Amino acid sequence: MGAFDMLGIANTSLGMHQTWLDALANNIANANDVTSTDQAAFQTQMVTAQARPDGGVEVSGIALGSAEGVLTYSPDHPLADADGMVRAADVDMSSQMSQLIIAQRGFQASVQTTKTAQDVYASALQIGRP
Amino acid sequence: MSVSGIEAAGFTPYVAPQLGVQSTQRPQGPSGPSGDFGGMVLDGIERLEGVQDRAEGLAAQAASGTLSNIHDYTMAATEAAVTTQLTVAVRNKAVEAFTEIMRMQVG
Amino acid sequence: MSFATEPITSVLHSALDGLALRQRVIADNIANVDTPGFRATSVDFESSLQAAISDGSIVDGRVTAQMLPTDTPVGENGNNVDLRKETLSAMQSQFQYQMVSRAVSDHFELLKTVAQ
Repeated sequence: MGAFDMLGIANTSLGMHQTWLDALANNIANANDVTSTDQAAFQTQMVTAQARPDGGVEVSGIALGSAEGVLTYSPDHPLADADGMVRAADVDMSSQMSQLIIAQRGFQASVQTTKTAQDVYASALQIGRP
Repeated sequence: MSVSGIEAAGFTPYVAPQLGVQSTQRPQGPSGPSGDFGGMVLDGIERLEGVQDRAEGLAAQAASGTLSNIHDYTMAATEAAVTTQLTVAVRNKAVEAFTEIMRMQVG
Repeated sequence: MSFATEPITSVLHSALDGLALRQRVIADNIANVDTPGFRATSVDFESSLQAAISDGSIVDGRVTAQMLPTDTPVGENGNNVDLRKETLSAMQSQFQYQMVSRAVSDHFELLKTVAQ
């Protein structure tokens, strides 16, 4: 119902921010992944969001970062190739951490919107009641 | 005496009917569209029905999921309730006054 | 003269029936959020109620609600309950129930005022 649009819109935002937080947590958890040079490196997940036509936000896609990784010289590593090279994950930790804070703030803001919506509806229902 | 608040709700103030002049002269209320008391009451009832129908329509919208704003319904419902109470109060006072007058004539 | 079968009463009563059923179904879905193989259901009464209002058949009595399967994506254990969607529906149907039950009391209060 149009009367409860505010709740639905806040809900879409909660979903999108949750997906974003999951992706960031995954990137951070795998920041130190090492693979051998004949395999792809860990690819960071980047969540893209777009506005929905009828209000709110949705995840338009999850792009994957480069599979090249960072070639590192690590001859003692069990996965090192003949030249002693391995692929390290190319995760920019500081960027991920600052995005984490932004995503969390976005999520909390939508939780607040949900609470505000509930207060607004309760007030509207009290109009004319003694 | 003009009660402006009640006029805003769509009621013309009560004007005492003048006995014995109804055939030649119709007493005009200060702002009512029709002069005699019966017409005033009927106007009030029509307005009331309009307000009640509006509240009922919005209630049906709320029930069937097509309402755009909660306050649309609650304000219409409040308006209908207050208008009804005003109409009933005016009707009761009018009946009281009429009964009083009838009693006077007999006594 | 019967007040109990006014069309508006049937409309509001149908809505309350539908909303009560919806709240029950949502509680069931949420309780089974981790049950393997569980498929969520939803309740629809709005479409049949709107149809009954527009073609006038609401005067014959209340409209019954329908239970439909929900088409949310199925997870690996066969469960397709979307917790966020169910929570949202729970909130919305709670407010809708409050609004419709207020409409019922308002309607009968009005009749009582006139009947004084």
